Amino acid sequence: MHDPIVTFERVTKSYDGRTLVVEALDLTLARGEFLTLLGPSGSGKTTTLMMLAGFEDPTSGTITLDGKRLNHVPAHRRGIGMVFQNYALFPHMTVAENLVFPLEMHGVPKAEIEPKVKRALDMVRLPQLRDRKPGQLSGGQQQRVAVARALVYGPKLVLMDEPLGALDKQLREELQLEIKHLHDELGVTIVYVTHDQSEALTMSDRIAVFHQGRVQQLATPADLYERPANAFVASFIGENNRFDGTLVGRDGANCRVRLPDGSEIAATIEADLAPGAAVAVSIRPERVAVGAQAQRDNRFVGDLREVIYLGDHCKLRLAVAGNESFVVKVAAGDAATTLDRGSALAVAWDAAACRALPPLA
Amino acid sequence: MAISRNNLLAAALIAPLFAVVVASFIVPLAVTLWTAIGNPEVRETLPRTTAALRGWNGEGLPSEAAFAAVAAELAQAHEAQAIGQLSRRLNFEEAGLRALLLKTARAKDRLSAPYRDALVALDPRWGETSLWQILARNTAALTPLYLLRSLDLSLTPDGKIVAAPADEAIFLALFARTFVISFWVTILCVLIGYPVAYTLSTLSTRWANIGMALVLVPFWTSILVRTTAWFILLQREGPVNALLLGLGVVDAPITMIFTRFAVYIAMVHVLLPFVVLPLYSVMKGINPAYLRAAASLGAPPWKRFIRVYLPLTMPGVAAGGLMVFMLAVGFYITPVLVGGPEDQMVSYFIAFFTNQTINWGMAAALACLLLAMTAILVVVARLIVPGFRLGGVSA
Ligand SMILES: Nc1ncnc2c1ncn2[C@@H]1O[C@H](COP(=O)(O)OP(=O)(O)O)[C@@H](O)[C@H]1O
Ligand SMILES: [Mg+2]
Repeated sequence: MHDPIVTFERVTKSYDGRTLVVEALDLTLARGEFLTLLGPSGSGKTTTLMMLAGFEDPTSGTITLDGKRLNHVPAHRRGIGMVFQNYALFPHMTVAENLVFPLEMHGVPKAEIEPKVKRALDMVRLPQLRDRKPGQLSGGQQQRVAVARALVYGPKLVLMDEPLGALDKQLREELQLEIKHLHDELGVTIVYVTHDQSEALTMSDRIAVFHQGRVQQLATPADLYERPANAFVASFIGENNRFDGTLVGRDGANCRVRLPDGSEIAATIEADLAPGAAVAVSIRPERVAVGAQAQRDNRFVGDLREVIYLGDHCKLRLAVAGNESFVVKVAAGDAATTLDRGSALAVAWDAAACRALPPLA
Repeated sequence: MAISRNNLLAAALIAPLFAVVVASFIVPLAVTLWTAIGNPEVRETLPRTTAALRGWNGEGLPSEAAFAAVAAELAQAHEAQAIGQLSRRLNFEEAGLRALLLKTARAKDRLSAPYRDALVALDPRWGETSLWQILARNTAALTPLYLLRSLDLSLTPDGKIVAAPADEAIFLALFARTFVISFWVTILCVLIGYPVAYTLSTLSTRWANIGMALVLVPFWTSILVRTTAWFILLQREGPVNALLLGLGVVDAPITMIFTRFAVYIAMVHVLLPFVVLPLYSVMKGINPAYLRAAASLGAPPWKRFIRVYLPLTMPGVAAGGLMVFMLAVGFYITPVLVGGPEDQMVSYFIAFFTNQTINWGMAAALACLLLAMTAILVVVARLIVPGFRLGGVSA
């Protein structure tokens, strides 16, 4: 990476001295990028963010910002902006006072304060609310003010911890785009935490997938979806059909996996695994074709369990080769959607569309 | 329709509570206020005199009927043993009247018409306009005298308000002392209670419970017991002096008991929990994210405290400080036990008038003025102290 702004080197964190909440974290952030820490609740995302912000000390390892070690630099001297899930706007100050606060703390000359406050409020389209108290604002407005407050003094790096978690879906999608556009306009580096994979896919340049205190994969949204590093990532990002089996043959990137019921699947493989290893085969629902398809590498007959109508498309749930909830996506008008429950249905997919993955890194 | 039914039900449910509040708070308050301004003695004991004085213009002497009535009614009151209250009441207006009334009541058999001459002959004071002015004034149902006396003022016989004689003008200084002591006790309680509450609020649940128990245990002991403990500790031969002497800090025991210092120590000790408890609950409720936000916005620790933490905990300071102040203003037993004569507060004199001189009018007047002054001070404090809102931060 040519211009790193933040690096984590072998950073670990344990609150109780026994369980590792963050484990040997190596992470490099490029200047100006939008990096999302994505993972289920309890996977160590907030802890990672708090160590970067200076509210928690790493148990071991080093964090640097602009090449300088951050260990023992107190939070207020790091110059890192932060947006909290519950906004954390000061309830006893008006919106404008909340924005003036960081400017005063950073010694911005009096004359420059008002124009900056005004610009920040215009930026989040709330100039008319400057004299309200936070308690008089809606959740979305509060979050906009919190974003404006974190950005107003021009930090190079801004951290956001599930900032939209408390908002309803529509508002969340609106603000996702607003934050993304602010990022593009201002060129700040943003580290964003969420457990919502679609939010991560929408906003991020890169996503680090957290699970059990470890980064499972750090990649662009497209890579993450198309080329998951392991079964956890495959099932966490997007919908996924999974078959657990044993690697029985491998020829470079092509391999064969034997399932417990004796059937075999042809798949591609990248991981450094030898025959005999346990693997999870991952296949996306939209990559499966229904009906007899002689030319596909993998052909199975499933037992139709359910047809779920979703407007523009339908989902079929089948039992296939021991997988009781094998999902296939088909167009809404497809003939298969008119079949009765219990009908036999042929499904097929290519080896190239299906990946044999290590069960977990 | 449904709403009004619900309202009725709600009203019915709170009616008993309302009755309790009225009975236990408003009624005693009203009775006290009434006692402070009520003036029943002359009207009830001397009803015919009262009637006879109604037509008098306050100049010269009243009619013979008034003299006749007062002679007869004083004698009656003496027989009915009702003269004590009356004479005490009028003696409060002017020293010496008690003796005059008793003397007149006992002279019943020697008095005969015309009563004016007979009474003046018995005691020339009956021929003075001022005596009759005092009598006539107190035929009114209400009197301002108790309140005036409580403010170091007095009434001349012809009804002008003047400064009370120096040896009776002790009450303004008493009120001032009461509020000064209460003020400093409040300040000390807040200054000590704030860090205590803060420390408790940062401890883990287990240690916070232990710390809270330490704060509360004294709370469960009676004020009398705690004050007595200070009485013992602060004596000349007490443990504190023994310690100071033993450490060589002082050469001779220092006088601590019966001083203002002892009053402050004992009162702060008794009242500290009242400020720690509300502060603790306010501090517990403050989301640590506010302080983290302030830090991430560049505020060093002391600015986080001044600009964010202190304003957010202000409702706790106000609630606790107010509670301490209110309680301190009414303190009685602690100054009595560990303070000197110059450290007694208003309550001491309320008790004095209630128990020693049986002057309930003065006791009630002092109590009412204390309440009124405290209320005014609280209103003023609300106006001038920033963030002094009892209902918490407007969120
Ligand atoms: N202050 C703390 N003290 C002790 N354990 C904590 C603390 N904060 C978080 N944890 C634990 O660390 C783990 C990771 O938490 P966190 O970083 O908040 O995860 P995430 O943000 O991904 O949901 C969780 O198991 C959580 O219970
Ligand atoms: Mg979290």
